[in-house]
Parts: sequence; C-alpha cells; structure tokens
Amino acid sequence: MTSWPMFVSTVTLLARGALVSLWLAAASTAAGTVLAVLLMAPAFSRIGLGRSAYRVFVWVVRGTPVLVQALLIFYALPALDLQTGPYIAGVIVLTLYLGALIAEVIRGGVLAIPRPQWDSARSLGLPPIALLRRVVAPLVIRYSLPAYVNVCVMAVKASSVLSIISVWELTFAAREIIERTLAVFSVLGLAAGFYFVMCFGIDRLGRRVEARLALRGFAGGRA
Amino acid sequence: MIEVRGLRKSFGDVPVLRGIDLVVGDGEVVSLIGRSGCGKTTLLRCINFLEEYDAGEIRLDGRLLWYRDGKGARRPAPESETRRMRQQMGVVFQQYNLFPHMTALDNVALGPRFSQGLSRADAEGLGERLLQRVGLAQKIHAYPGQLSGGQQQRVAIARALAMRPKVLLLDEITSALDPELVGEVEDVIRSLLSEKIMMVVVTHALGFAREISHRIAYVSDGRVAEVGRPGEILDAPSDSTLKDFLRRMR
Repeated sequence: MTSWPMFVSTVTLLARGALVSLWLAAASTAAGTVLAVLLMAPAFSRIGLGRSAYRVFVWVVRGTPVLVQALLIFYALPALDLQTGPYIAGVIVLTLYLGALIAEVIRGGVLAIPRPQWDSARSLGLPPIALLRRVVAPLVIRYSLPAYVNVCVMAVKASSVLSIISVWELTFAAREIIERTLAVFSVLGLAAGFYFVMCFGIDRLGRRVEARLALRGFAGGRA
Repeated sequence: MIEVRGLRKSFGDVPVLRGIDLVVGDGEVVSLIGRSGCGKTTLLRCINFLEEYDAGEIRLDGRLLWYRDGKGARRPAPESETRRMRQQMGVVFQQYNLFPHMTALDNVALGPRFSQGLSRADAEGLGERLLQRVGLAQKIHAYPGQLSGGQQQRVAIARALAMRPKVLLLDEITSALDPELVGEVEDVIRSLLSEKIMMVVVTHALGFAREISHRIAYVSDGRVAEVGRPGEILDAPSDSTLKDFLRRMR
C-alpha cells in the first residue's frame, strides 16, 4: 500500500467484506440456534434411537473440519440438483456447524439445572409448556449464555472458511486485494483487525446481556 | 386420608423401603423420625412420586395414586393424571428449592397460575395473601437470593400452600437453617395446625415433632418399626433400636 487512495479503497473493500462476514455469522447463528433448540427434542428423548441420532449428528459435525464440510456441501448441493449458489450453501454449512455446537451448549445448560429445581417444578404439577417456558428456559439461558457468546465469536471466525467455496466475505476480499497489490502483511493485518473488532464487540455485548440477566442477590454475573 | 401399603423400593441392589405401611387420617399430623438413611425422606418422596417405587400402593382419599393396576404388570399413570394428583399435595424441601429467577410472589403464584389455571391477578392475589400469612408481606418482590434461609423456607411453605393441597409433605424443612432461623419457620407450621390440613413431616427435631404431631412413626431399616402418640414413642418406646436412637438424640 503505497498511496493514500489505495489505502482508502482497501479499507473500504475490507469493511464491505466484514459486513458480509457479520451477516453470514448472524444468519447462521440465528438459524443454528433454532436448529439447536429443535435438536433438544431428540437429545432428551425417551426413545433411545432419538438420543443416538442426536449423538451421531454432533459427533459427525464436531469431528470433521468445517473446511471439509463446506467443500462437501458446496459440491453436494448441485449434485442433488439444488442450485443454491455459494451464499446459501455457506449459510447451510455454518448453520449445521453452529447448530451442533449450540445444541451441546444448551444441553449442558439443561444438565446444569440442579435436581432439586426439577423436584420443585414436578411437585407443583406444572404442565410441560409452562415448565419449559417459566422454569427450564430462563435457567438454561442463564447457565449457557457465556458458552453461547463463545460460539457466536467462533461463528464470525468460522465464516472465513467460506472463502474457499467462493463466498465473497472478509477473507475472500483480503485475498483478492493481496493478489492485486501483493501487500500480504498489511492487508492480512487489516483483515485480522476487522475480525478482532467484530469478535470483541460480540464479547462485550454478551457481557452486557449476562449482567442484565444475572440473578439478583446471587453471586456470579459480576465476573 | 393417605394410605401407604406394602411400599417397597430399592436403589439398585440396595433396598431402602422394605414394606412400609402407614395411614395418615384427615387433619392428622404424622412425623417420621429415624436415623439418617433409614428411608424416611425416600418415603416422603415416594408419596409425591418424586421417586418411583417397586411395589406397594399409595392412596389419597381412597384413590390409587401414581400407578394403574394393569393385567400382570402395573404401569405408571399417565402424565396428566400424575400432574393433577401432585397438585393435591404441597411439598416443602430441605433446601427450599425456590426458583432463583423469580420473585417470592412469582414463585408462589406459579403453581396456581400455570398448573391450576387461575388468572394472573387471582394467582398473584392468592400469592400476596399467603406471603402475608407467612410474615413476608414486605418481601413479595424480593428474589430468593435476597432472602435469608428462614425467609426462603417461608416462601417455599407459601408456595406449597398456594396449591390448596389436601396434604403437606415437609422434608426436614429446618435442617438447613441457621439455628436462630428455625423458630420462624416452625412458627409458620404451628400456625397451620388449626387448619386441620394433613401433614407428613420428616424431621430430626424431636421436640417440634412432639409438639405438632398427633402421631409419630419411627422408621428403621425401611420399615415403620413403631408408631404411636408422641408420648408413647418418645417417652416409652418399646423397640430397642428406637430406645438407642432416642438416647443418641439427647
């Protein structure tokens, strides 16, 4: 980067890429959260087959690199006659990946509910919907929020993998600029800076939500 | 009336209840005493079906609870029926077990509102009256973490009462409290005696058991070894292990 206009155009391009990355991460985290909540049905199913299916899904998704998953889905979708393009394919990849991670976060939150709380809820004869909505969900949200924020941060970083399937986002934009300018370190440094700012922002946001939800009168939540 | 007949339960290979027979009459207060591990808390939990049991039956006002007699094997009653039956009992636990994310009032109003279908206003009205009754009118909007152990336990009693239960099951409700907080919780229970509500009370506080109970049952080794009026059990026990137990408690 030898001139001021070039610097401005680089930063502008990277900022646009960062926005796309953020959008990809946000869309996939939202969809992944929905997927994770739905996955709680088999995860806590009374039917053994449901629980097994859940475990296999988590094993497969967690046990293989996102990069490989991205390539696999990118090439598999057209083979299945689904003309989606890289963006939809990318969101699908990240949704499956984040869905598995978030599902485990939520499952951990459910398991963290002390047994006496279940006893209380059962002894009150609460119907399932009220039990979920009034007791389980509020407690799970509090228990799993720090781990959930962690996944959100990972989502932003994981989105960089999608550059491999020609999704134009921050990493792709950086590589494009490098090919033209050969300014490897400065461009990559700027891109890393953009990632850091996004992740840091999510972290701060998470802390704020945590503080808001902190149980009044209880220790913790002030970390 | 609660009738427990031939109740048996094992945790794995370890038998905990080996044939419990116990009847609690209408308006009667029965305390369960015995060494820790004798099965008294398990019995109480079985009465509310917080524990499944292997054999025997429990009836409330003549109605068989928790299980249906099937041909051959018995099977658990459907969930909805279990929920309805649980609503006729109020349980107070040793560790209060209030929902930490809800105010005292929300804790008390939760059952009436969502299990019994009261309107929010009615449930909260009921909750306010009950919290006033246990001396916590000033604390209705406090969270459990902002209350002392004694106050939390009084909220828990109000929560149990909010279901307008036929029977109250109290599981060592003062054992986790600092000594100076025991009195306020015991006072609340005393104040309930005039209501003639059935109570099954698991306790180590023998003086309190003597005072509030119509009868005391001594549970030993998974059976009711001796049952009778407080004076009979505490002053003139015949079972040798009970004599020994009482000596140790002095």
